[in-house]
Amino acid sequence: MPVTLGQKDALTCIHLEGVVDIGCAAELKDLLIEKLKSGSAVYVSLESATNVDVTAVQLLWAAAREAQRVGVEFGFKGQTPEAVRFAIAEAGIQEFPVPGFTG
Amino acid sequence: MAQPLVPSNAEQFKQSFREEAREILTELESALLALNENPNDSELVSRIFRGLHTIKGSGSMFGFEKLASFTHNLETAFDEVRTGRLEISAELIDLTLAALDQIRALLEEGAAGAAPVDPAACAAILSSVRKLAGIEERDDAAKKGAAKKDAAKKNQPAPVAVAAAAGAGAVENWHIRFVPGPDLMRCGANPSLLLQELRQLGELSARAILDAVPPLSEIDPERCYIWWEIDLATGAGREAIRDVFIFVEDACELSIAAAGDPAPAAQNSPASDAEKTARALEDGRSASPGRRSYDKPEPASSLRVPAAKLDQFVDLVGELVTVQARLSELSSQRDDAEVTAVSEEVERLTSALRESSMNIRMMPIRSTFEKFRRLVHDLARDLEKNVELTIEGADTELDKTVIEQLGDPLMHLIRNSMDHGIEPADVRAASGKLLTATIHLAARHSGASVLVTVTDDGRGIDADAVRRRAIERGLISVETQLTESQVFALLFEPGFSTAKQVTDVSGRGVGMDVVRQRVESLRGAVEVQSQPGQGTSVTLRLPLTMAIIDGLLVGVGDACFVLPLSITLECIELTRQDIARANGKHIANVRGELVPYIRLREHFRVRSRAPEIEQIMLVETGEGRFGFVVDQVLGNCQTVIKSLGRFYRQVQVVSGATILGNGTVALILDPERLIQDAMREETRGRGGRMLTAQGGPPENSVDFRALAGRGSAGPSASAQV
Repeated sequence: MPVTLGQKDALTCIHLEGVVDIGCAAELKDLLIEKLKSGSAVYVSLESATNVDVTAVQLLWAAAREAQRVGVEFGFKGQTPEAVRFAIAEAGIQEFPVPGFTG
Repeated sequence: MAQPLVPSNAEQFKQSFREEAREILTELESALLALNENPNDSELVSRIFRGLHTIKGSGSMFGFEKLASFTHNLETAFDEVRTGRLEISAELIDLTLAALDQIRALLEEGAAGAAPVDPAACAAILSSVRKLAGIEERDDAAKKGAAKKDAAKKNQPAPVAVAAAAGAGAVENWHIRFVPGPDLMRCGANPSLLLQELRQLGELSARAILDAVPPLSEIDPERCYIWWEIDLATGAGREAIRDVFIFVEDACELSIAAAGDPAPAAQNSPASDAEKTARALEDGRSASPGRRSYDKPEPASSLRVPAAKLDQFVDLVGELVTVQARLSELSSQRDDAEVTAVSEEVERLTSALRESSMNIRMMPIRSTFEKFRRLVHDLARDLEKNVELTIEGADTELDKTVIEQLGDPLMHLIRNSMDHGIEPADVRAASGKLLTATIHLAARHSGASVLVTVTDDGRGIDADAVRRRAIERGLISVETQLTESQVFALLFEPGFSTAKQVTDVSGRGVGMDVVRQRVESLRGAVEVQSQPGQGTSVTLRLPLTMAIIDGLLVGVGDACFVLPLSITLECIELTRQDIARANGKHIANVRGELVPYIRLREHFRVRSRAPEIEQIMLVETGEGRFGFVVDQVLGNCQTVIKSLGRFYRQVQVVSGATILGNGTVALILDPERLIQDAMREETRGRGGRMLTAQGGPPENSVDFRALAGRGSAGPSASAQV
């Protein structure tokens, strides 16, 4: 499953693995909403992702906006793989305005 | 491991792609064969290019990388044709046709039961295409050039396409606005791959606009809200750019403007565009005054449904018909007006539902016909004959099961015509015929049947040669007298062939009996007409449907049988006196006409005593009128055909079974087979229960052939009767 959840104390980390695309977008959206509602910091790890499509990108982008609106800490954790960064850049998303994104 | 009941999204998209690609491949094949006839038709070239482009682009998008890569070279070749740098030749057509076969194999690769792809064949075709289109030369040149360029270009696409595109014209700057529609992602497209493909055309700079992405809670996770402003410097023209979006053009808003084009009014400011687009996407309205292709207000006019779902639906209707028959039976046993009224209403609705479900299964025969264009083209080349295939009645509809099983018999017939029917050009010239022979495929309705005919204008069938061969093979004796139609029927005997030479195409005698078997398994019949020197026409008479038929229920002793209602004519009485008047022979005098009959009681060895007055159910077959003697005619019934299973496969006179309203099982008879059995026994001179012309008939036998041949005016025959 490409979307898994890790939780340590008040820190939530959503791990995205393999190809993160439209097939798991609904699941990712629900998880992001749920965790942002909890009020604790939410992090996303792309370390094990091999590709990310535009549906995932726009969800992460919207989640970053939502986190900012409700005052929840949100960002990326760990190193984003070269292939994923390349895919995001290739999609014309030069600036991915999410804290911690190593693009 | 069991397959998941609901396939994943990716699998669903792959399956959709496979289905669509199969259709595109069929269209491509037709277009290629048409191009062979009209090499200067630029519209055909464009259609082929677009078809290849769609397969390549969609293939890449759905993970068919090998297929996409293979198709890319073909696409490049047809781009060369499109731009006038490569001429259409027989070699290119044949290579492309062979390549389409490989694309089909690559498409099915990995699917259950798919034949493995032959990498050597793929490589050989690819190499020939590249050589013919000059791709290899340009590829080498591009590689040399590319090596000198900046290392920053390492992520640029394959040099083949860039080189091809750059060579197409002077480099021009284009501005592209690409706004995905609500369903773009759902139909399996991936904007990133579209951008990748655009990059293959030249220098690209893309900017994703995220302003239209709504708040997280309002996002439809399967919709793309991001849209793109793209600048592209390329030598490829507007059409080449548009072609990149060819398979998503109905699901996006696209504008392509050259640097010199006047800017559209009120669309100058990217900021205002973004705002407008965002607002429109949020509001679900168009950002521009014009309509976007995906903004079609009307609902889809057709729907693609998996065949398995359709089969399940028809099965359920069949069950409903059976239960309804039971309800009718029960209501008839009760004196309850309300129950009777409900029962009649259910019967009316069931009948309407049955009609509708049968109609859903009906498909035009066009796709089956069209695929033979390729067969005729290939065989004509191999046999060095000029043959044109003409098609008539391609919109005639048949049950999908019938259509699915019609391919093989038609293929055998066409191969036979091409190999043995059509003469070599010199022979045709000597006999004053057109050098180009014609094979005509036609379909038309005839009552509850569809007639599918394969006609050629070849040498026709030599009835004497058929007869001699039948005597050699011991199928008939020297003394046996047969009408021409009966002689032609021998062609469908297993292993029968009059061909002097066995070729790769036909002549082994395998095929025509397969034609008969397959057509009979569909409850159809084969008829042959032939004129020496003029040609041959083989007609397949096929039922409209295979799942539920209107039947006539008859009883013999305790047993019930169903006869197809479509061939029944009338019912007459058969008394002991009638039998005595015919000297015990199985012949009835129907208003002066002698009609042979089969007693089902004897045929199925029903042991109970026959009533004083029996009934003859008269039927009309391709060969004339025949009768079936039964105890009583019980009435019409909607007959849901159930298979008898493999243990009963050899019982050919029974085409299936059905469950009656009272829960008992009735056998569905195949009247053509019953009569055919009787006639075959006669042909072989074995005597037997029914008849023989030569071997001393049993007391109650009758010469069916002599009677069947009566009044037969033309050279027609039925392989079934």
